[in-house]
Amino acid sequence: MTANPHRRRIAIAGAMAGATLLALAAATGLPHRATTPARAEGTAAPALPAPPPGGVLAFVVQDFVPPVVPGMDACPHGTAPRLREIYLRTLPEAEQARLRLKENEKELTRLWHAYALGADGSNICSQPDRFQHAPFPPVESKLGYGLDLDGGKPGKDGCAHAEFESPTGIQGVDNQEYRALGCQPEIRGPDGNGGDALTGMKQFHTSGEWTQVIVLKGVDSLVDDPDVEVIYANTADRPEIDSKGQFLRGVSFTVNDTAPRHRNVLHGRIHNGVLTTDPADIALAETWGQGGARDIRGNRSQYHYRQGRLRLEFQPDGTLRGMIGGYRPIFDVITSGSLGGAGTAVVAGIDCAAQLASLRQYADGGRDPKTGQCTTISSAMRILAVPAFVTDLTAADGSTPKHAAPNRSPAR
Amino acid sequence: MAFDLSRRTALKGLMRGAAVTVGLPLLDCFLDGNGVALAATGSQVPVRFGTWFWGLGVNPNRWFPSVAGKNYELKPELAPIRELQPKINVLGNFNVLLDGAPNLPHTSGGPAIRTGRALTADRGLPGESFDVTIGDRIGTRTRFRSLEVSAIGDPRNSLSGRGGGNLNPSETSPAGLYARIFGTGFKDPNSASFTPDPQVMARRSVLSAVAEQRQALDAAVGAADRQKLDQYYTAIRQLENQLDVELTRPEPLQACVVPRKAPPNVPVNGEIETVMLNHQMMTDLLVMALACDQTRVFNMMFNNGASSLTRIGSTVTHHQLTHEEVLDNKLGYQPEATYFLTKIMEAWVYFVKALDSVKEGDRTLLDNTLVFAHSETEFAKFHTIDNIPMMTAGSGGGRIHTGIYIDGQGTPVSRVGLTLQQAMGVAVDKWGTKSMETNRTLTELVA
Repeated sequence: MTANPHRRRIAIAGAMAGATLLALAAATGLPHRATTPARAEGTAAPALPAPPPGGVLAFVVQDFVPPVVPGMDACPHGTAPRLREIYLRTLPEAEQARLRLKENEKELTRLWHAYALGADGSNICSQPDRFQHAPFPPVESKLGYGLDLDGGKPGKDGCAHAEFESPTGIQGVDNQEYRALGCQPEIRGPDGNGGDALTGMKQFHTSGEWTQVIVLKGVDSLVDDPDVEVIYANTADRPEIDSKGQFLRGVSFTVNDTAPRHRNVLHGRIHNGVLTTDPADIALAETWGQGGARDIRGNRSQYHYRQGRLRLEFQPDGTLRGMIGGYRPIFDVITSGSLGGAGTAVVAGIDCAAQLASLRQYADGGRDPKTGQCTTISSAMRILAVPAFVTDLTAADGSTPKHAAPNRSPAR
Repeated sequence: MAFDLSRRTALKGLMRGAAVTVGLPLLDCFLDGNGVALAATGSQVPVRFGTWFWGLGVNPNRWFPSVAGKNYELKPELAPIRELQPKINVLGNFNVLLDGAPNLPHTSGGPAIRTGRALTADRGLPGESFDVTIGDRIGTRTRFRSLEVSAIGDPRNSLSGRGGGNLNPSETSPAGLYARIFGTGFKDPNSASFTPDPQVMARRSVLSAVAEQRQALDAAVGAADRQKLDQYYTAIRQLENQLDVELTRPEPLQACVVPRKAPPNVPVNGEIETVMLNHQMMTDLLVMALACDQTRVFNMMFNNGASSLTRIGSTVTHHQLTHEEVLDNKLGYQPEATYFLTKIMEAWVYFVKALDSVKEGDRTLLDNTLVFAHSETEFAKFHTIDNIPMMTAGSGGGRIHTGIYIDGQGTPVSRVGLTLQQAMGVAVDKWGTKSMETNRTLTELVA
């Protein structure tokens, strides 16, 4: 940590009984757009303000979405078909044609719904591993967003795989989840732009169910600082939003140890205006309600990034933009659909078994030494975080709170 | 009076020398540890309250006005209400606050609006729905405290109840609704003759005969059972009131025109055309039930939360389309799913027009009614429960302003329930629980 003689007072910091008040005020009030990170390695950082006295900055994450390189060249066969179509394609062409007739719709519905069910009471989404479905066609483009997780080649616990190049020229990008599922209609719309998930997931962050905050401690410079503590946590507090649904800056949040919240303590550094963190397990809330009484939200699902890390660029407007990357247990990726059970298949038309097959095919981490199969998959989410005030109730004495340790979910 | 309480315990009394008994609900102690004036009469015109529910929300950017206040903008999906706009309020940007409770898709939103509480179980209501609270205020002097109706069928399709797992079941067919309103027990308020029904007289007397035992039983049970008994006695008092009404010659009502015959037996299913037709017939019956003062409270469910609506001959449901149909990036909505929303708004307009077509003195039945319409999600594809679309129609006898778009600015949705209760005369200054507890009345709504 180095002293910075150019600090100016842009934030407040203080202490309360049993709590540390962390704060940051925006350097500018420029409107922000949800764009992908654009700074390639070696590119000069833009002019950035000095950090606040005390070196503490805090943010609330507005965007946490799958990064999609737009365009249908990534998916020359189109977006992934729905389960009805997948079922039809299992049939001879003449039978397909017969069942596609309007007068046979009821018969077709009965048949493709049955296709989602197993004889043992299983269904294609609750027990996708009991169904042998072909994987979906992958993303075929060489371009993809994400982070280089393996230094260019898989380690002893990885599996061989092709790597992406980011549209901004970053090489060696590992994001096999995007390769496996980047042609799903939830990820990529029929026009090639980002799909439903990019807009739909924001509600979870707006409602306080998944809301994330980032706190940076010991920051002496937004350009270069070799030693920064990063707290990446969930909060149950709701962001304030403007009339366009953007998060307002300078809103207060509290981090406490109420389960199932998460609080990840990471070590990082700032170089050329880019914050990176050392690999560590990162767990964040990802709760779903589809399971009803079986799986009330928060009981078991989460974002779990093994060897997870952040790459976030400080922006002149005071925001942070970048990525989180890491290896996710492959079953975690389809938790939402799985909790939805047969409804996911017959209502949303999602073929969870084909998704699982795709994830298994492209898994590149957590290699099982016995089987040689990889059990985790490289993944990334695009992050836009806006300045906020965060009260970190769990860190007053420096101890790790009971619920702060990353929860581990078994690989499946 | 002492009780030897058992599951077979009943309230007993004497009536004209004969023993009468009234059964009791299943109490905890029976279980183990696991376990304006009318022209004809000078009477006040009754004020009515009702709800109108539709499932699967709207396309927010095509439905909600952009600017709060009067003469609000009518975007494409709200445009069908144009003719009625001066009598309809639109409410947006109110939030359901979960306080850590799950957002159960298509299940959490409706009960939160009706009870001011976050749902923590998968079924039922987490508390008393405010239509029931209002019914206790304005619905005690009619044959029916309220009428629940589901145009898509399924008696469990209801958001009305006293909580604790109880839901007021819905009438599911036009013929059934007709029989209930205008069948046995109906007394035409405009009939020249009135003869009290001897059976009703007998039932009323039975309840009177066991009154003493009811009081004694209250003293013999614990707090939890007293709460159950209270709910049970409320129902009995309601029944007593209803029986009293049936034994009282009704006031003549100018607007009451008794339907001459029952509607035909028609299919009850999810096909949109069938639901539209059934909704029309049930609306017409409900309107006459109000005009004939058979009830002053109603709950109309057009469809269900996870909407089972389909097109004729199709097996693809409205719900399925909201999830399966890709959101068109250029259009910004799902055209196939939106078809159903168009029909829903058409049905809403029919409902409001039907109320507005009945004259009551210088006003219309709609003017003397406050209808609260709402859905259970904002945008169904993502199960969002902030900014759930809501409307009111009618002024409740001049108690609320109309023709306004109210922007809740992210405040709890319980403000709406609080305000509507206050408008209907319920003595409540704060309502809701946890983050949804509020004492902030929508002052711009109250006349």
